[in-house]
Amino acid sequence: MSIEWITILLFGSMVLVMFMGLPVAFVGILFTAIFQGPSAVNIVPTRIFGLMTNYLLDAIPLFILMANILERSGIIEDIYMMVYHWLGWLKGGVATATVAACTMMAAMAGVVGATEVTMGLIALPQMLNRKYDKSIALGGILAGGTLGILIPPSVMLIVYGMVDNSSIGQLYAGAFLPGFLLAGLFMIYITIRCYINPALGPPVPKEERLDWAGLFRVALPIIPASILIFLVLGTIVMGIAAPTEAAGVGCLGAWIIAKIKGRMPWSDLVQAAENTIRATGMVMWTMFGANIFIALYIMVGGGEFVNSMLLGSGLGKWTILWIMMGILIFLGCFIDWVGIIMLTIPLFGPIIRQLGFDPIWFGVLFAVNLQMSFLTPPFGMSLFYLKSVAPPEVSTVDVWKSAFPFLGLQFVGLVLCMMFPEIILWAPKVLFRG
Amino acid sequence: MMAVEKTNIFVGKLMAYVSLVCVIVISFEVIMRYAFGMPTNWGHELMLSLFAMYYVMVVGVAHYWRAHVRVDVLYATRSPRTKAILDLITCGFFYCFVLVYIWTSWNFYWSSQMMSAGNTLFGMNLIGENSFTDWAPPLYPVKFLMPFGGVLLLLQGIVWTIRDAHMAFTGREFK
Repeated sequence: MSIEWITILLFGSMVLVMFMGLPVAFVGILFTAIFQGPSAVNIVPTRIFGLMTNYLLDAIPLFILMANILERSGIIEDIYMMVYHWLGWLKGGVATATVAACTMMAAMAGVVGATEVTMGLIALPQMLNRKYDKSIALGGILAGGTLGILIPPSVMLIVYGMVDNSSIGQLYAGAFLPGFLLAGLFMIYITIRCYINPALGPPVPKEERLDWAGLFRVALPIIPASILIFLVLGTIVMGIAAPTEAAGVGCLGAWIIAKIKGRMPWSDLVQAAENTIRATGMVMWTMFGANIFIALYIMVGGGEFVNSMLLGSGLGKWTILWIMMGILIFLGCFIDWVGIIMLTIPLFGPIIRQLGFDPIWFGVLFAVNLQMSFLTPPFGMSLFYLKSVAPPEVSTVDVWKSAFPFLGLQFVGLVLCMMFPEIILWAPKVLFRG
Repeated sequence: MMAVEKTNIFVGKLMAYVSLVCVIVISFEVIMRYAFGMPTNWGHELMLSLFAMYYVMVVGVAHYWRAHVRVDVLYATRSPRTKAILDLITCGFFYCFVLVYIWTSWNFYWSSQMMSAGNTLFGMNLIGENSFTDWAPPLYPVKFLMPFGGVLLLLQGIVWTIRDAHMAFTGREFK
């Protein structure tokens, strides 16, 4: 069978069974046996064993656990209270504060979920009470919460770095500015819209505002956690500690902070660890399944096929990059990010290097691009998280509609990062390349 | 069925504790290395093995929670009954995966177990593959857990198939 037919059959049947609701983790193996003969299934345990004893990947459960412990210590509420009082006086201030709080939380969490849910529970009712426009209130939480997977400690970039063999420290260093850029775009958008039409987002009334001492007091509870995060991320980005070590010690630090705040009985800690299992099991087994699938595809010659299709097409390198971005956006509508990394990066990585693009730049660009996948209906994780906790008067359609302006902003952010590579490459260059 | 689900929940709890132990191990190793300049030769590898165990063991409980990532285009918006029917149609793929996984990882484990690395215990010769490191712990226990976790997943999958079948035919939750 020719490689073209194998490609069509393989991906076609994969898409078909996945659409019917089969978890991505369980898709790969049958095709292995069909195309390579039964003996090829022996790659299954070796592949899985290679991944499960991978040192870098152990940072994933650790970062998730760290965020879960911090979350149980009430950090999200503390952060929200602080920025709420600091930014509430702006028109649209509560929504701006929500985005700012999400951004700060994103620097502590590696996945989307906890932030989204907690903000949906505390910030959303508040905004709806104050007669905020639904699309601004919902969109701010959606887009802000999604930053969790872009701004370090980002689980996505760990997986990316592992698959692409690129430095996680450099990827982390590169991801900060694009993350802040996106957050800035969201906040500017909200503010401009609310200054044009103040009815969309009234500011906090004067009598509820705090004086300077009050503003200082609400900032106190988050200081220990901020120091912890500076140390954890600092050591990684400066190249002092491996991500896994930093994450492990970060867990211990988070534990101690929560203990000091007196909010962490033993049962809560175990609960945090159990919630970690849920997220980790999902990420790891999707990786196992998709890894086997793509290993098979490369074994039958898929790598060279995609390579020759893109490189042999005679298109310019920017056109090829745009095609890749288009493919990623398209896949983002249907598959989760783990699957996308495992399926595309083994194919795209070598091409990017042949075209002469910076692999670190592409890695962060990839993460910025996948921000959109969380907001694109029908399969956008953030949409599900927010809908699951939103009050009943918020319909699914409300949530979907509110996502679109922010999707546009994310796209603008992506284009900016492509046109000005320095946004991504400045920090890695300063820190790693002298 | 209850026994299977209880077992998986118990394994989940156990693994939660394992991950906390990992935190302690890493922190200990890091403190010894950076603060005292005395790195251990076992901390790194102990953590690797513990996490390897963690990953393969949690798959059962993750399936109990149905936490595995699905493509929700057609799936999420359906009624429970339609979902159950779709699950019954695709469960063939699931069983293919699990059975192949159990079978191949059992072979993988067995070849590791049968290797002779010159281990001794109280003067007796033991068989089994060791890790190629200074500490050189045996590798086969972790490899054994691969098919073991697979069996947990398989049992949980059977439980879900029974539940799905009940839902598909009667439209009610199986109690």
